[in-house]
Amino acid sequence: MRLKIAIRNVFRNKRRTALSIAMIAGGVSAMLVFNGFALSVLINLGTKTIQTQTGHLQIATNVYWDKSADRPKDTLIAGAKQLQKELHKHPKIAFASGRLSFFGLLTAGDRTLSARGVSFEPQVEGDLGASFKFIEGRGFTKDELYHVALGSGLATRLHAKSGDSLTLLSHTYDGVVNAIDVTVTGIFQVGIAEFDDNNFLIPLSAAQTLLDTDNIEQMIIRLHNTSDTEEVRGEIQARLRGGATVKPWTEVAVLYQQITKFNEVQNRIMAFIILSLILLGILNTIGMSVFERTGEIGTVAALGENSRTILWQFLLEGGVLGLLGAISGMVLGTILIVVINWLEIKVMMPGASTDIIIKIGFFFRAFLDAGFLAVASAIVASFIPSWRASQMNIAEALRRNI
Amino acid sequence: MNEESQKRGQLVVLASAVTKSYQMGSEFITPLKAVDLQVQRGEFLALSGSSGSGKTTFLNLIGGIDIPSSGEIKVDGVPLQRLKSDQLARFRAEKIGFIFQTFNLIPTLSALENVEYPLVLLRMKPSERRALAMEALARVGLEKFVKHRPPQMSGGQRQRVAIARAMVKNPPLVLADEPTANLDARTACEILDLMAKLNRELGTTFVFSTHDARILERASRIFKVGEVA
Repeated sequence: MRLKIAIRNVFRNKRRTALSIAMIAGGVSAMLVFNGFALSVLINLGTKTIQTQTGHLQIATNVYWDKSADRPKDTLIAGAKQLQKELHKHPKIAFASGRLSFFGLLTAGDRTLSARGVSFEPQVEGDLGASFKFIEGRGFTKDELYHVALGSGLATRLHAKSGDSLTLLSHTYDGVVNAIDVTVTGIFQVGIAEFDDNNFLIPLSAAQTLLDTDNIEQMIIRLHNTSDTEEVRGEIQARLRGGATVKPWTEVAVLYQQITKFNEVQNRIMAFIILSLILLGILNTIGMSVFERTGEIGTVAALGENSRTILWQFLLEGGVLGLLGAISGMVLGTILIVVINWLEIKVMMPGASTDIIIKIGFFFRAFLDAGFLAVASAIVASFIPSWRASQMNIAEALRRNI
Repeated sequence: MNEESQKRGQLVVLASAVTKSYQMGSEFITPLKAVDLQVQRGEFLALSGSSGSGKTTFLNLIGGIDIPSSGEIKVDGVPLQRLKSDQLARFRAEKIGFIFQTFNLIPTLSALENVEYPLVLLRMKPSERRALAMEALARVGLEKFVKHRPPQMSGGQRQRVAIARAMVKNPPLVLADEPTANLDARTACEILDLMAKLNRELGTTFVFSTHDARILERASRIFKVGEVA
C-alpha cells in the first residue's frame, strides 16, 4: 500500500516528475558514458602495457627493485634458463621470457640517436605480432639474431625503414664499449608516444652478446588470464629463493598507475557535480510536494500516521523517483554508448602517438554504482523536506485544506 | 461519580476545565477557557457556536490532534495529556474517526483505498481490510464507486467516503468538523441523516461541530462551546 501510494504521488505532478527523472537520468547516463570511456581506456592501456612492456608478473633481484646495487651487473639474474623451464610447467603461465633493457646509440647513415633497447625472446614469444602493431615490416623469427624493430617515432627520427642496416653501440656490463650491426625487421606502434619515440626491440641473445652477459635483468611472465595475477604471484614468490622478488604488473606500470589515480580523482569530481545536480533537483521536487500536500499530511497524521511513518513515506517517494531516474539513465546511457561506439569517433589522447577510436564499454559495476548513487542521493535529498513534513503541527496542516 | 462512570465505559469523552491558548503574533489568544464536557456512549452531540468560538479547536483537543494548555481530557478512558506524540498517533488510529469539512480524501487513492487507509495503520491483513472497507462503502451506499478517485466524485459522495473511512475501524468516537459546510442543503441533510442512521444502528458516538440551525435540530444534544454540559 505504501509503495503504491508513493508511486502514485510521484506521478501526481507529471511534468515536475518528468523533469526530475530527466535530471537524474541525465546525470546517471553521463556517469555511465564517462566511466565507461575511462574504464575502457584504462583496460586498453593495461592490456597494452602487459603485452608490450611488463607482462603480468616480473621477477627481478631485490637489488634491481630497490636500485641499491653498486654495479649494474649485480642486478642480473643468473641461471635464468632453469628458472624459465620451471615456470613453463605452471598451467596458468603462457610463457616466461628473459628481458634485458639498456640504452645504446643507433646509427643509420649519418644520423645517430640514443634509444632504449628492450629484449624479447622470439623462441617463446613468437614474432611479437600479437603484442605489437607493426605498421611496416614484421617482428622477429626464431632464427634471427642481429635484428631490431624500431618504434615508429624513433624510425622517423632516424629516417630508417625495414631492411635498413644500423649500427648499435652500447657498454657491456663491465663498462667496455661494444657494437653490433643489426637489420631493421619492422617498425611498430604501441600507441604510447613516449614508448614509440624512444624504444627499439631486439632479440635477447643479440642483447646478451652486445652487453656481454648470459644473464637477464628480469623474467617477464605472461599468464593466460589477467585475473590469475595475484594467485600466481603468490605461488612464485613462495618458490623463489631469497634475493629475488616477483611483482605484479600494476605495481611496476608507472603510467598505468598515474592514469588510474587521475581517473579516480576525475570520476569523483564528476560524480560530485552530477550528484549535486540530482540533490538540488530532488530537494526541489520533494520540497514542492511537501508544500502542496501540507493539508494531506495533516489528514494522514489525524488518521493516525506518526511522524516516523510520514518521514518514511516521503523518503520512499524520493527513492522511487531516484529509482525511476536511475533506470531511465541506464537506458539512456546504453543508447548513448551504442551510438558513440557506432559513430567510431577518433581522438588523440594525451601521451598517445596515434588517434584512437573512442570505445565505451558496458561495465556492470559502473551501472550498479551509478544506479546506487542516484537512488541514495535521491533519498538523502528527500530527507530535509520529508523531515519537515513529519514534524508538522497537525492542526496547522489541516487548516491548509480549507 | 464521573470517574466511576468512565471506568464503567459509559462516558466516551470527559473534558474537565480545558483551556487552550496560543500566541498569534504578539497577542495571546484563548479560544477555549475552562470548558467542561461529558459525552455518553452513543450520543449524537452537536457543538455549536459562532465562527472563531473554538469548536474546531475543541474537536482537535478531543481527537488528540492538539494538546490543551491546561485541564484534562479522557477519551474512552485514555488520559490524552499523558500521551507522547507516537502514543497520540496510535490513539487516533485506534479510537477516533475523523470527518472533515473539506472531506480530506487522499486524491491519489480510490474510494476503496481511502477507506482502507485507517486499517493499514492498524496493520490489518490486506484481504481483511478490503472486506471491511467494502462493507463500510456499502453502508454509505457507494458500493458501485469503489474504484472512483475523489476528483471523479461529487461533494456528497466524497463526504460519504469520508464517513465510511471514519467508521471502517468501528471507533468508539467519530469527530466531525462542520461536515456539511461544503455541501448544498439537500446533500447536507442526506449526510446528516446518514450519520444519524449509523449512530442509531451501530451505536457509534458522534460529536460534530456546526453553526447551521437545521442541522442542530437533528442533534440529540447541543453543546455550546464554553457552556457547562
